[in-house]
Order: sequence, then C-alpha cells, then structure tokens
Amino acid sequence: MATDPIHQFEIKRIVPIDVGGVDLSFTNSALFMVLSAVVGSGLLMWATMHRRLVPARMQSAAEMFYEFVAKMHRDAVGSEGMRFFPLVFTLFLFILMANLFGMFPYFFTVNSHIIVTATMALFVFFLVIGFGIWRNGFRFFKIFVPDGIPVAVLPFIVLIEILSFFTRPLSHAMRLFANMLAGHITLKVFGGFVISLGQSTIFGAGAVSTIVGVGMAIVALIATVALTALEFLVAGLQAYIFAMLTSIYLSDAVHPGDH
Amino acid sequence: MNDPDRDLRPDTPAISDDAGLDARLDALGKRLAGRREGSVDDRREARRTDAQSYGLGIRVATDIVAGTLMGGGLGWLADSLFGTSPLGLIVLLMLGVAAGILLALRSAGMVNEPTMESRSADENEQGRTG
Repeated sequence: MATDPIHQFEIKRIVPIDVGGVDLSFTNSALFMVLSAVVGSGLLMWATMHRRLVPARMQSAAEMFYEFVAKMHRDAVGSEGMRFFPLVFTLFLFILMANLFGMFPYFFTVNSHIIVTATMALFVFFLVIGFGIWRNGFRFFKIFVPDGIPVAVLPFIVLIEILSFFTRPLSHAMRLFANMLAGHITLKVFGGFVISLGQSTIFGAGAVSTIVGVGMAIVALIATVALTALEFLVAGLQAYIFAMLTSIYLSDAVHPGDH
Repeated sequence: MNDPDRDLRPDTPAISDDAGLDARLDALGKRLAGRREGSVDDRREARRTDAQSYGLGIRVATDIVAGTLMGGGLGWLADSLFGTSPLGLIVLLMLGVAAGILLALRSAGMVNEPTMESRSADENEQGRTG
C-alpha cells in the first residue's frame, strides 16, 4: 500500500552483484550513500574552486561551514586533536547530506538503517580505543578508574564506568538511527492520514462526516507541513550531534587528562 | 559654527559643538545598539538555544535508553551462556541503568569526563560544562 509507513525503508537491489555467495549488490541504500558523498564533496569543491581572497557567496558559505565544524572540533579536542578533523568533517558532511537527501519525497534515507549508523559509531569507538592505547599505553585504561572514590565502592564504580564506555557506541549509533527512522515514519503516518481521511469523505455518506473528515484531513496536512520543518531541523542537528560526540569521544584518546 | 539642529533638540547641551555632537552620537549609538540587541541577535540566540536544548534532550534520553538496553542485553546474554538466569539479568540490568545515567549526566555536563591523570579533590567537584 502507498500509505505503509515502513515501505520507504525497504532495500532494493539495483545492480545485483554476487561474489562467492556473498550478496554485494548495489542497492538503493548504496546509491544514496554514493550520492551523499559525491554531491557533498562535489558541492564543496565547486564552491571553493576559484579560491578568491574575497569569497563569493558559495565560497563564503563553504568557508563558514568549514569554520563551524573546525571550531566545534577544536573546542572539544583542542589543537592537538586537529589530526582527526578530516574524519569529523567527513562524517558531518556525509550524515548531513544523507539526511537532507532523505527529505526528498521517494528518496531513500540512508541513516534510517542502524547498520549504517552502527558502522560509523563502531569505527569511532575502535579508533578511540586503538589511538588511545597507541598514544598513551596502558595509562589509557585509567579513564575507567576515577579519582577520589573510596576503595570500598571502587570495583562497583569501575564496573559502571566500563559498562558506560561500551554503551557509548550503542547510544551514538542509536540516536541518529532512531531520530531518522521515527521522524520519517511520523511524516509518512501523518501524510497517510490526509489521504485516508480525504478518501473516507468521498465514499462516506453523511454531510457531517464529510465536514469532520475534511477538517481533520486539513489538520493532518498542517501537521505534516510542521513536521517537515521539524525534520529539517533534526536532519541538521543529528549530523551536528554525531560529529560533536565523535570529537568528544576522540578527546578521551588524545588527551592525557588536561581537560 | 552654527548648529542647524540646535532648535530641534533643546535638551542637547550646546556649550561646545564638538561635545554636543559627541553626546548625540553616543546617544544614537546606544539607541541603535539597543534596537539591534532587541531584534535580530536575540531571536537568533533564542533559536540556537532552542535547537541546543532539543539536542541535549535527545542526547540524555538516548543515553539512558542505550544504557538500559546494553545492561539488559548483556544480562540476557550472560544468562543464556552460563545458565545463571535470572541473576545475570537482574545485576547487569541495574548496572546498565547506572551506566546509562552516568552517560546522561556526562552529556548534561554534571559529571567530569573520564581522564587518565590524577586530579585533586576540589577539581573533581567542578563538572564540565558544555
């Protein structure tokens, strides 16, 4: 059915590829990942192509975007962590473009699948562990042992700290995924209300039910418009939060404790 | 020199033309600053803090949910692996909730981020904001 709110998340094979029994098909999800990456980087390259000293409109916008992400990252990690800035900027741009592509009708929302967000979150998680140990050695594990805790409750606290450390990638991935999934389902459900309420008035009998049905369809339409605006806010905000948390997690690995 | 605006502004002191001009420029600057603060910047600031609050709310909510899911999932896994049902689920679920709340408090800037170096006790008191 057209109003099925889950239908939009279905993965479809565009170019079936099978490598030794492993399904590596080029799907609609892959298509929109490629689109997000290509359009995102292409837009930035096109905007900064002329490299004017006094930037034109597009170059100015690109520079503001760069400065915005750079400031966010530097505030969280400090100048020392700027080696991770390309990663954070890429994540931000990719997630932002994917979320904005998802706002087009009939387009696929890449981040509404938890496997996509979990891949990014787990990459950041293992990068933090790997870089933290490579850089600080076993001192890295001191982040699980807070200071000034009585010895009696210390094992308990360390257990909670370790559990909370391993919860971070789950929370990191789930936040983006759940926001995109829930937002798009809500949009579809309210859009479906408009159709079904309108249909019921056409085939329904009484005048009262027609007035009530049309009135409610208009309310649902207004709600859909408002929700669309909210979804645009969420699309940008979730990209920002994902990138900002990446910076904050990386600061654990970079800094030996001078927060 | 004659001040052409003098008649229109009887409250402006006309002892010296320069001083009068300075005073009026100051007043104009203050009025403009007040008007600017009242309009664009205030609204932009309000909108930004709205988005920030929304983001913080989402962060805190998912932290607690993720902690609970993590604890519950690990507890269920431990029970099915070691046959300790229902002890593992009970203990790990509670620890998971605690871990989620710790994450949420860190997101809200009320608990220090974990560090690798020792800190003095009074430094530990101050939570990290932002």
